[in-house]
Amino acid sequence: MKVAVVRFPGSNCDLDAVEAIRRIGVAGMTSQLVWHESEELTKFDAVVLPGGFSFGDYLRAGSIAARSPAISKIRRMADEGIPVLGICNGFQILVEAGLLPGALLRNSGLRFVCAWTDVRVENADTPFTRIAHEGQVLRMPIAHGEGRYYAPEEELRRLKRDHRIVFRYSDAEGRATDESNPTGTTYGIAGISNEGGNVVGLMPHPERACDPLLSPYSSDDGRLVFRSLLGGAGG
Amino acid sequence: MRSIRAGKFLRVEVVASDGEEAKRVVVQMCNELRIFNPAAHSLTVEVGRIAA
Repeated sequence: MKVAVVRFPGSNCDLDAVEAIRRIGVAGMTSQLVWHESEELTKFDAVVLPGGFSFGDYLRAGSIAARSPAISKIRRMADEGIPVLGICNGFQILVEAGLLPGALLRNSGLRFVCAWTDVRVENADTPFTRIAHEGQVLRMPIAHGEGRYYAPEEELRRLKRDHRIVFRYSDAEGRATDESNPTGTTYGIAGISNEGGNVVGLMPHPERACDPLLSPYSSDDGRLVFRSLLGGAGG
Repeated sequence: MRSIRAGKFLRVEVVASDGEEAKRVVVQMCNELRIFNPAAHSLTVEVGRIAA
């Protein structure tokens, strides 16, 4: 499986994502940086939109990248069922492109929040969660100023009904409370999927939780997100 | 206090035959380019100074 990590001007978690996938160490699974204007994108089996500040977050986070050449290709790939993962700014791009519903607004405290969070897996039936079990708690960091997921009431009802809420902020025991919701997101949402389930966006950074040495909590829970792509193969 | 408004605006300069056409062009541009996210934002277009 060849995974493309798309680099936009202003991406800054792209190399982390490439390295995280490389370290999963599964034979046949490779990752490669792909410039957002590249024609190569359609040759890949999965796509990751990494975190960062694409195009300097001008207008709104993700809004300019959402009009880049990569997104029209990713739209077609998503229609064909190719797995697409948007992490942080990547999630913002997917929302701004209309590939995922809703909006990502300024955090409720109007401050950039950088913290380790616990998120509960709500849907283990996506290409990025299929080796998890529903209710499993993953510890991954967030780092963003515009990550307060918002969906109008009707959209939120649809997301719940169609089982498209993939991650919710929770405490370490898996209880989704106001206190465990660091940015005031609607319903504690940390990640959602499209109708097909193959496009997933989340605000926490799994690529920063792949090496216990780099986590104050020795968390490598983010590996689960990438290992899921191969159905759990690899260590 | 009767009302409060917070946010930011974009000033767009267009060439049009009159204010109505200018407004139509800007609304179309904002919709096509998704300048605003309809899930969370609304769009208000006001015609400002019309240059000769």
